Amino acid sequence: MKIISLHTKSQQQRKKAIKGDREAQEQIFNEHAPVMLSICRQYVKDIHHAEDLMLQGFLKVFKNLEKFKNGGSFEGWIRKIMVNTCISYLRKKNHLEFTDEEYQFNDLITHNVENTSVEDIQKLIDALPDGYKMVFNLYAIEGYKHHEIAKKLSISESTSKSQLFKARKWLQANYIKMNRIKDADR
Amino acid sequence: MQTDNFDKQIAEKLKNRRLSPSGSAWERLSNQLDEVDQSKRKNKMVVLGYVASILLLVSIGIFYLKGETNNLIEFSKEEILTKTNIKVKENEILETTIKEDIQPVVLAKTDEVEKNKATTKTIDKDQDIKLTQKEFNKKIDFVKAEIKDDKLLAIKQELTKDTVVVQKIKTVIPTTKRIYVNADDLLYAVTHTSEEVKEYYAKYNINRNDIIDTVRYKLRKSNLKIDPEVILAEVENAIDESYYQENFMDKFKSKLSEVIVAIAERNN
Repeated sequence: MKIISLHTKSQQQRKKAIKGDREAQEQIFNEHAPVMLSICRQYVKDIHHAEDLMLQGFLKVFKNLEKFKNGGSFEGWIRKIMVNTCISYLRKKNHLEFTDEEYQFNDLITHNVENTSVEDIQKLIDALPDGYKMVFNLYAIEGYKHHEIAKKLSISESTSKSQLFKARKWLQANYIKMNRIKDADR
Repeated sequence: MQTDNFDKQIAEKLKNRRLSPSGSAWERLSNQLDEVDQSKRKNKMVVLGYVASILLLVSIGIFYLKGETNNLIEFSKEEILTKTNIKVKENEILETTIKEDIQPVVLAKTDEVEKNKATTKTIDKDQDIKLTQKEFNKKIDFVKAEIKDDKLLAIKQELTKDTVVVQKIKTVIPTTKRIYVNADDLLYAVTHTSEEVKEYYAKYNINRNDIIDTVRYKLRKSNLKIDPEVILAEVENAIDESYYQENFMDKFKSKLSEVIVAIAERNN
């Protein structure tokens, strides 16, 4: 019963927001902004820049709110808008490059990152080349398939796969480096 | 599998992360939303304006077209015969007949005019002319005025020369039939034949070109665009033969002035 009432509440909120009710819009914003800012931060290093992109994304959300179908996940719908906003921004700014440069990787040894802080993980992702970062974010975090990534980024499926492979290796290599530096500091 | 775990661990950490936006974030978004609402309202007004102006133009167009079709009169295609018979001598009958709708008949006795001329004008049946009611009325008024002038002339003749003038003018009812009246043709219908004119000048040793130049000069002064030949023929018609012998040019000029004034008045 509680779930049903909550669902109805969010629907009413959306209806009000569609009509331009600022209060309802603010409630939706406050509810989803922290997650969405985190998503934008994955793509852009600067937090202020990420916030600008998030606001652009929310503007699109409120402009197109009547297009959202109640059957799906509202948060998932907003996430997609945020990811698309970030991708289109990076494409416009020519930030998106798919490098074929070969890095010297160690053998693929997987590490447990469970004890690593999210800030450190973000630092590792920030250091990724844009092409690697994009594919890794879309595949590993957002859960897109390679053919979807290929379509979204206008690349071939094999490029998407190779970019992901290289991104993983790059992350692991840098994770080891980062840990070594930390150990040396201790 | 191991790489999948690596991905999952990273994804989990990032998915659970929450980053608080700055305090002014909502305010900025709210301002942007206000701007969007304003531009939406403007767009709506612009669209409404376009729709209203299109509707106005369409309704004006429909109204105008309807008005035009109501005012248009389809004239039946038929031949109109304009026949002018002038065979006037002392105590003879002058008969002018305009066939069809307008049939003024003027019967007059005059001193001496000796002419016999018949003009027949055939109108092309395939020619399709549409006149508005206003244009049609204007033409009818013009024809009426001409008939009136003829009537006055006939009465004048009656008073001065003890002649009998009988006029029968049928009521002019605007009909849907086409009427073509050419002023020059009508004028020419009452003139001499070229042979007769030549005989005239030969008899009295007059240079016709000089007279034509005089007529042309007079017409230019009067701003009338009429063929000098036609005018000359008209004047020649009006001058009494006996005056010819006395002082041709004086009489000619006075008659010419009279004719030009008459034509100018008629045209006005």
